[in-house]
Amino acid sequence: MDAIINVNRLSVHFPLAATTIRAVDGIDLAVEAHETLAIIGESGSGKSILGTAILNLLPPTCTVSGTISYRGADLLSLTEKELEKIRGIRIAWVPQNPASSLNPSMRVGDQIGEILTRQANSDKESVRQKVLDLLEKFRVLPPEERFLEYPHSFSGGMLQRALVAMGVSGRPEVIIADEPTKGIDVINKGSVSAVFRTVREQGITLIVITHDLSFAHDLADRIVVMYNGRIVEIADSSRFFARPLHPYSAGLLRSLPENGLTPIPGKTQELDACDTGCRFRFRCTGATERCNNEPPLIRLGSGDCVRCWDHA
Amino acid sequence: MLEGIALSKEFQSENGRKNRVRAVDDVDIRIDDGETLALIGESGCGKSTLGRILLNLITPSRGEVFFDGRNLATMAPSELRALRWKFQIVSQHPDSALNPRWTVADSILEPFRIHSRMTQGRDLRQELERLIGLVGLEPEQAARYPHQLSGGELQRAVIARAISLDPSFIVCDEPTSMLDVSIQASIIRLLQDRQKEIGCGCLFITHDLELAKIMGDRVAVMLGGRIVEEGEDILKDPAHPFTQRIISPCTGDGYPAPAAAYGSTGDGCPFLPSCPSRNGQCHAPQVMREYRNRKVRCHMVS
Repeated sequence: MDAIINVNRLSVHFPLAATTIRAVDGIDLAVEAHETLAIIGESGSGKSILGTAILNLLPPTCTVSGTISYRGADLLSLTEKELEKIRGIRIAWVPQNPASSLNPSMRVGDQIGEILTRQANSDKESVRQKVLDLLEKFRVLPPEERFLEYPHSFSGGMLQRALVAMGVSGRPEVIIADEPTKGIDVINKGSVSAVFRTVREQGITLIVITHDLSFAHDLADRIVVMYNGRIVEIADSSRFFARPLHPYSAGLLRSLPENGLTPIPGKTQELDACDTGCRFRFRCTGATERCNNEPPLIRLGSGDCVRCWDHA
Repeated sequence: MLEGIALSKEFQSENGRKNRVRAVDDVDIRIDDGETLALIGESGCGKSTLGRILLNLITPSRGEVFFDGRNLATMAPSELRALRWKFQIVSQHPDSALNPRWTVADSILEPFRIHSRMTQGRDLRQELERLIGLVGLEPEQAARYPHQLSGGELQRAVIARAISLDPSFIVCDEPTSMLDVSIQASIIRLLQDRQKEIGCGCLFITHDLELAKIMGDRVAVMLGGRIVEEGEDILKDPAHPFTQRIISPCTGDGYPAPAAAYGSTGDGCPFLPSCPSRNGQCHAPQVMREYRNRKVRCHMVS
């Protein structure tokens, strides 16, 4: 398999007065073409920052190092003008919180068509027809009526489907979706999964940032687990849910209601910049002396990776 | 013990009478002391409105709420105020539940100030220490403002405020739907422990079936403003077609019926447009009937 996006030694740090927040710290990740990759982890683990870094949408207050290559170009060093040809067109972003991501005073149909109107030889009628087709495909029904409505009259699940329709409209190669099931009820979650399955069937590479484990299970080929700015495990999805390797991954699965609702003890600590130990060691029941030195991301025979001395 | 009888709530838009929404429609509900009723349903099915009616935060269009046999609707305002501390809520959005301009400690102690006559003589500093200890917050976190805490920490503060006066009844309105799974587990454990200690009744509103199974002594399923099935093990062995549908969300292509299909059935069954086994009788009003160990609102179950 070819990697379509290659993240290399990526670090995103936020320097504050007293300390530096290491939101993403030395990440290597190869996203393969046509795969569905779920990045999971708790709030603050750096998963959304990793997503925004791929689109070079990071705030100017952070310091970035490393590279993210996409088709031979380093996304982090492209100019704004060059990025405009990639963002939304080659790599699309489906943002978190659909209710505040759409313009409340603009008709939904017009918003979905925005990317299309920017393309060459697009007349109003053909854009309208394309948008109606998208609405139909993603079950924003009835399309003619929904086209003319404003975001406030949509339900949460329907807004999320409309946002995906918008993401797909420019026929991108890659879609990055940030927490697409947050705050959506079980019944409508089925429809969000279905939308992303439709996207996957079109051969689009999908990166889903989520902490909804059942959604990741439903959809993903591979799972990337982040903790405190680091990747701690990269796993084939079915193996991951049957047999997680990293203690944090195992803790996450155990905290699901259906697996006994056992919380992970302690809480994420802001670590000192000169701390060189495993970042999970204070919450890990199996931590020993050797965990004061952080293990590398160890590649296993199966191609999966885990950052824990137990698997060295 | 809290009981609602024949509760209905209609909302009407101000311009024109056409936009009338029956958010809650003829609901009977009863929650005993120390018992948890898990209420599940889609967004917009009326479960939050029902919770707020029980707390007397919304006046029902029809029907009455009884607390220990006393009708809340006929109470004098002063009587009601003296009773208020017994009802509490833990809401879905902890970030908007606390006053952003107060420290978290001020918010946690607000009930003591409001019900000052009842809590006279109590040492507020000790109370604060006790409460933040119970919910697992650090003293220095309580001294901060809401925007300086994470969602899970805020929800702990909201819970501390809710349990501060040992209430008789708590409505938990999707208390963990905005939190991570690992945080969710610790918050749910916290709620369970504190509820057991205080022995209060709880209406646990959620759309997570697994949580409903864990939290609920009984489970009620709501659709289109009505409770369609209620009982102990209904999620393991559902009788109503809608309950059967929600426990297997991957049937068909996973897409729901068009939104307009719900709620437009008049007096008929709200699940009519999507029900696989519908027939002519579904257009008639459905009555709640006892069936084995549960109550079901479907003419096909008897």
